[in-house]
Amino acid sequence: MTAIEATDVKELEDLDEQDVPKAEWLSFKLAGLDYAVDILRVQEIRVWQASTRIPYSPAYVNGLINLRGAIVPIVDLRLRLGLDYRDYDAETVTLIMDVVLNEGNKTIGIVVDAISEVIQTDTDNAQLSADFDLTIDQAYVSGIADDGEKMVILLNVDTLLDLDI
Amino acid sequence: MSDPLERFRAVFFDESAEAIDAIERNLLDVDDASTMDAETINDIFRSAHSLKGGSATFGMGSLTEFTHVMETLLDKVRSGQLRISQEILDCLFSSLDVLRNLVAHYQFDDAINQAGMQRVKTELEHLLAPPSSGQMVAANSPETSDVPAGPAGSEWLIEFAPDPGIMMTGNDPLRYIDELAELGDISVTCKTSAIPDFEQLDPTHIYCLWQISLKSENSVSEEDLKDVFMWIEDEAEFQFTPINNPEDVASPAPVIPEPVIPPSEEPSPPVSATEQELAQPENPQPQDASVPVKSKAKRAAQSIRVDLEKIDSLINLLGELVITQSMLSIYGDEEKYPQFERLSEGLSQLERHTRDLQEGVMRIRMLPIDFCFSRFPRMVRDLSKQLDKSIAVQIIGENTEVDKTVIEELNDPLVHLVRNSVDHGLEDRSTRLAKGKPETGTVTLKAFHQVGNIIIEIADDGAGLNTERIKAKAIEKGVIKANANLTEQAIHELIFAPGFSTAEAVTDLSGRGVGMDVVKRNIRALGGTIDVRSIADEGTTFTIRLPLTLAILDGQLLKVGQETYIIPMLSIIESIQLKPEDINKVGNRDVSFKWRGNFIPILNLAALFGCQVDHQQLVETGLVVVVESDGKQCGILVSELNNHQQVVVKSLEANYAKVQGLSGATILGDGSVALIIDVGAIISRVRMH
Repeated sequence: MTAIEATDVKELEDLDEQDVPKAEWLSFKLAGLDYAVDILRVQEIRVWQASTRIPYSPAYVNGLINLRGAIVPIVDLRLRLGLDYRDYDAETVTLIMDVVLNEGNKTIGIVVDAISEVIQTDTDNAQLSADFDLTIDQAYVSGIADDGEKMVILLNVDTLLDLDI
Repeated sequence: MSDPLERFRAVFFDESAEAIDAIERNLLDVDDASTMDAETINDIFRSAHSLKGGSATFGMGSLTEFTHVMETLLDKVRSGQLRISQEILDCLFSSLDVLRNLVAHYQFDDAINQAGMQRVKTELEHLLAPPSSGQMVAANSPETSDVPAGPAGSEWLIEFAPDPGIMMTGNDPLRYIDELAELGDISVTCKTSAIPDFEQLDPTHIYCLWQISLKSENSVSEEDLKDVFMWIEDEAEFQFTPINNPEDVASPAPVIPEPVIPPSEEPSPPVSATEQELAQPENPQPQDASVPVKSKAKRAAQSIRVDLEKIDSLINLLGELVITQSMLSIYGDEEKYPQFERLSEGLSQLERHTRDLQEGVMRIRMLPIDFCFSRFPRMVRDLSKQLDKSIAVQIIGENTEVDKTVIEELNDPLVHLVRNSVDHGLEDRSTRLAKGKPETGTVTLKAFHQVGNIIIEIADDGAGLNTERIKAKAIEKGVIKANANLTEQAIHELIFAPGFSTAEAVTDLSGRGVGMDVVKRNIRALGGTIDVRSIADEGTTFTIRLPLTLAILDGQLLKVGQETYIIPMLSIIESIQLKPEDINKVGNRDVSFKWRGNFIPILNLAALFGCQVDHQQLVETGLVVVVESDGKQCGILVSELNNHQQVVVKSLEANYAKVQGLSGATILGDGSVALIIDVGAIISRVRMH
């Protein structure tokens, strides 16, 4: 009896959830914390590869790689967010992102420590980040998500990769 | 993409631009020869007519109305009722400006220049009125006495056999018969013998042919009949036979046999329009040469419109192929991989085909420079009227092909140079005569290929550059010091200095705030150079040297430390090895070395770009690439010289940003990215420090 009631409630919840806009985010590790980007903006995930250094580039710009014929800059996300530099290892990956900027769309890669998982958020559990001191620039953050026990910082790709060069 | 009609509109705008250009070209021919042959006027008429038809289809009222008036005038010229005169030509030229304005109005919502349009329209209408009588006569009123073009018959037998597929082109044959009825009384017989059995009948096809007899009180020429069917002349066959036409007897070259000849000369009856067109040129018909010539021209210029984006993506893809191919080419080494003999054969074939393919695809983007040159005769004509100078334009090598992007970027600099030649270079009539030169000055535009470059020369036979005035001006503007001792050539080159303009008064033509320095900058942005040569009283020649395409570049690969860079071969004079003691030092810095008797600065690329490199080793290696830009040389210290190869230039801005001293990037055979050095930019940087 109680079991059946429980199912009903779950079903009701499911129905409710369908009305709330859901989004999928790809989470990754960076200096011990979890961050995530909108998965629809991720073109592909690549193992880290050597890049060509660009003269006069800011420290967080790693260099250029060849992505099937396109010249794509790679940004070290640790340095971009003002975190400490760490040498790349076997788990280091590059996420190739679609960035929407005023001057048009660009393809830019970001280097992260390790990839974690795909998480689902809805507007309910994505809190505003203003209440937290995240040590990183608030303009880059679009919210905080609660993924079970962990806190995941949702990044705004467009402000994050609006490189000021 | 959204509205299908929108697409047709776009095509119409493209075509109308072409039609207007075509009219202009023809008018210029007429202007030059001061006679107008039947063929040219027919061409002009046709262009105007299709403009009118198209604009009516899209409901562009003003455009239709205006072209109609213009067409009426052209029709009168064509039929010989009006003689072509300078007045008419001028009026037609200004009509073109109105047309352009109107097209722009419908295309881009530009404002209509109402006053201008009205003025030209009035002028056209004024010309349409018969000169002597001053009476208004309807355009197609009978003037039997002076209608020399084509035999006119009051009675015609017309056979009209549309192609079976004519309905698919959106044409309804009956409409044309209706239109024919407007010329006079008609009686129509429909021949249905060709209709197949019901099973074989394709309902979208037409199997009928019509015999129409036309009786008209007015005289109707064959041209008039052809006009009715103008829109479908390629989709149907016609025979026009005049019946008891007394005027034919007087007519020296009757057209009557024409329709009959094709079947009699060709053993098989002409089943398609193509065959008839092929047969026609054999007709001994000097008077009516326009028809076969036109259909020939149509055949020759077969082309399709392709979105530039599609071609660009093809070129990108091809760049990939080139990279993949060079990646594979290391396995083609037979000594290393003797077991793969077949593979290495295949690879060398692949290489050859890739190269051919690359050339082929690049050629799709190439257009004859005529696209750029063709506007100048008109421009010079207008300018010479304005300045009251007599100037001829000579164009040589207009078929020389060059990348479309280059052509687009070349337009403004060329306009500026030609304006300059016309305004400053060429003298007015009396001065020219006083100097013993022909009254008419000449501006020559010349284009030709020279080892991977296109050379464009803009020459005039005017007064040449005024060395004294340039020098005085340069001193006044502070470009040079008063006591500077310069060669004549160096003084001439001062005109490219920023902020330099010799025009005493700012005329309407030159001196619009942009000077030769802007021209030079534009050309340099295209990876080209510009030189000037001038001889007093003989004229001035500007020579522009440009790469054929901006997409592929001949580059020298080199290493600075571990980093690979590319220098365009065009900028390299030579590569030499220096001894450490050849390098002059100031303090700790390498400053210069002696090269061909002059000291030229040394550029430390490693320091400029912040490369990790053992400086001591770099100097000991002493490998220097001597590069040149703007007539200034400098030596670049490098660690290693690699091979030189063609590279596909990719923009850095697409995903990143413009980088100082770099003109782009490319992908090497191993798939890595290498940066291309902008020699002009780094040399001017060295000069600054």
